[in-house]
Amino acid sequence: MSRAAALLVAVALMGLSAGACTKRSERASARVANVGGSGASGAGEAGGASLFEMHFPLTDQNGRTRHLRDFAGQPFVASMIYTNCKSVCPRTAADLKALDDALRTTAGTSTRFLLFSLDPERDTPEALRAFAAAHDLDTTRWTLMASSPDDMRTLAAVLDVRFRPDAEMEIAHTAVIAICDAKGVVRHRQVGAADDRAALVAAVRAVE
Amino acid sequence: MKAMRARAVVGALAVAVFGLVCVHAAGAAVAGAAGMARIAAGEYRPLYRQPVPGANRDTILRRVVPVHVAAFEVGVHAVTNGEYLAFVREHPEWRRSRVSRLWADESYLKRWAGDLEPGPRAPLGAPVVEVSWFAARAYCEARGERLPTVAEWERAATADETRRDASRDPEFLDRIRKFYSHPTPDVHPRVESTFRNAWGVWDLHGLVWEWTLDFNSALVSGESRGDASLERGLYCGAGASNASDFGDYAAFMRYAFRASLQARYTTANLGFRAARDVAAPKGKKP
Repeated sequence: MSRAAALLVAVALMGLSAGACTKRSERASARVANVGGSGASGAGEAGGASLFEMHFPLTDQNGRTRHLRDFAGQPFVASMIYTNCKSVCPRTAADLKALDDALRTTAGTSTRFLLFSLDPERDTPEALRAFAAAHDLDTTRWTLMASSPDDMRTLAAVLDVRFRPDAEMEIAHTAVIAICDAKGVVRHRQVGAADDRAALVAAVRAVE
Repeated sequence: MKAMRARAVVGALAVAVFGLVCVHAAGAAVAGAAGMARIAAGEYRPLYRQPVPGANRDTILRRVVPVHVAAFEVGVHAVTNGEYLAFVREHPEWRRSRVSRLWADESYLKRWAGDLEPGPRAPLGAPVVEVSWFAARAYCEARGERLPTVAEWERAATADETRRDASRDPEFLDRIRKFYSHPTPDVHPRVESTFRNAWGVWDLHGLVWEWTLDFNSALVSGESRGDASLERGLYCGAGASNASDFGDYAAFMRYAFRASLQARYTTANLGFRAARDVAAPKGKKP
């Protein structure tokens, strides 16, 4: 999409928004076009650049300092969540867990799962550990991490996760699943429900 | 210590450039640091509604929740090509030929004649455009500043020449809307060429669009909480049926424009200005 056409997109979005819910499917397709859909077509998301270019430190569920580049060498699935979330994050976690199960029971998998906190102030290692336990996540292959608030903002921008803390200390946000190759390049990106498991499995197999 | 010295150099350069390119004396700005105007604490009424619990906890209502905006300082004009040049001299990783595609797309500083040469399509006194959100944020951080939030930007931008809040004046809103219908010129005019508002801030309307720190808080694709059905949450979210004030068409355009952006995007009509906390100690936070 031409960047100069961004204003046109804005106008188009407004036109679509005006119809509210009756325009649901159109709004959905606009959104998919906007995020660029699957990265299978070439350069990939985030300009085809590696997420490992982000050098900031993170703290994992065991309180250890980690960096994104620590995960180089194996494909991974990345998503952003916060542990106080009452609706979407548990569902995202459950869907990713089901994806993991599907991968393991079919042909085995080397893919790791990285969950990044959208709420670094409250997501202490203890909170992350409790979330992992509650969702029965295998922490030898799943890593839950929080960064500084500034670095969280960088990561959300790179993954194009939209978020807005609200008056109730909740964080409205889009559920984004990014499937990355061993070099840290986002090869597939999905916004919304993760229930199309076949598509996700295929996307993971494509980077393994 | 080295970083502090680097910032001091950038600051000095920026001040020098500022002095060169500004016809209007910085002293014209109301109280605040050089080149910054102070905006008093107040409220911003967002365009979107938020889910709030009803009288009994099982009901969720949606209503506009006014946002308290603490006092802050904001650049009296958008960052210019001259100022941005000083930044890329000091920070080679932000030069056009070196920037990572993670941080900016292919049209980053495309109109510049070279890495360190803005050239005829990017006059030193004109606002820098074709910069990504990452680049804009890096520029601000290098100076111990930050991007303004949507709430801050919108609060500053409700002022016209004489009133701090002109948001109820249809004539003012209509003027803004007309600005937006102007095509983007090939070469932007210099900063401080439209109007100076009651806070002493120039060009919030009518020159270029501007990045905000939380541009990505506009959830056009929906919110992910508060609804039993995710689908409903996704596609009936903020900005659609829940907009608070359709009368302010221009504000709605800004909302939609921000929603259409990604942090790597660069466009010919999108620049930025810096802001900072009033009480913040000097220098960059750790």
